[in-house]
Amino acid sequence: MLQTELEELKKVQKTNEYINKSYDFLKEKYSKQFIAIKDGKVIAHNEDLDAVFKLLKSKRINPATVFIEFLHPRDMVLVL
Amino acid sequence: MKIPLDVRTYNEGLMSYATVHLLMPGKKFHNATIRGIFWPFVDTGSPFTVISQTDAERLHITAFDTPRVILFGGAEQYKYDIKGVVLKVSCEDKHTMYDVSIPNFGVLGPIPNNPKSIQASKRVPSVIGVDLLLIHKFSLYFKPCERIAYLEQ
Repeated sequence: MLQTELEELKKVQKTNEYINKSYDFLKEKYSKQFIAIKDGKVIAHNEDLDAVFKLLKSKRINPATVFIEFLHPRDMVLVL
Repeated sequence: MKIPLDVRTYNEGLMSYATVHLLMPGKKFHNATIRGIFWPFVDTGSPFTVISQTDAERLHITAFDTPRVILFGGAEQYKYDIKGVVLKVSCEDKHTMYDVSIPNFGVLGPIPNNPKSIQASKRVPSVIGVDLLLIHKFSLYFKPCERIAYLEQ
C-alpha cells in the first residue's frame, strides 16, 4: 500500500514540474477557463467545469490523478 | 523531518503547495476505493483544512453531514466535515511517506440558490489550514524570493 501511494505521488511529479514552470503561460492562454493537466500536458480546458469532466470521461481518464484548476483572469485578483 | 512544498503562482501571488495523497478506506466509487492526489496550498489564514468542490468532485468525495457556513474566497460556502480520510505526503527523502491525517476533513460545497456561492465554489482551491499544522506540530518555512518552502516538525 505504502509503495502504491509513493508511486502515485511520483506519477504526478511531471504535472507538478509543468505547472510550476508554465503557470504564467497557462494563465495567459487559458484565462477564465478550467484546465486539466496530466503527465505534464494540458489534456482538457473549458470555461465550464462539467465539460472538462465530460471530456475526461469520454477519453476514459480517471480524474483522480488529474490536476484541475480555474485560471482567474488578470483583472480579477482572488484574495483568500 | 521536512515536507517539501512547491512554490508557485496562484492568481497573482506566490503560494506554497503540497502534493497530498488522499485515501478513504471503505468508501468506494464504482467498486474502487476512493483515492487520488490533490494539491492544496498552505493557508495560515484558514483555521480549517478543506478540499475544494472541484477536487472533491474529481476524487468522487461526497459529504452529507450538516454543513457550516464559512466565508471563503469572497463568497459564502458550505463546509462539510468528514472523518476517516487518510492524508499522506512524501518526505524530503522522497521514499518515506508521512501521515498528515486530521480528525475532521473539510469538504467545500456551494450554498443552493446562492449564485455567488455556486460560481465561486468551483473556482477556489483546496487549502491546508492551521488545524493540520497544529495537530502535527508543523512550522512553515516560506521564502518566496528563493521559491523555497517546507513544513518542518
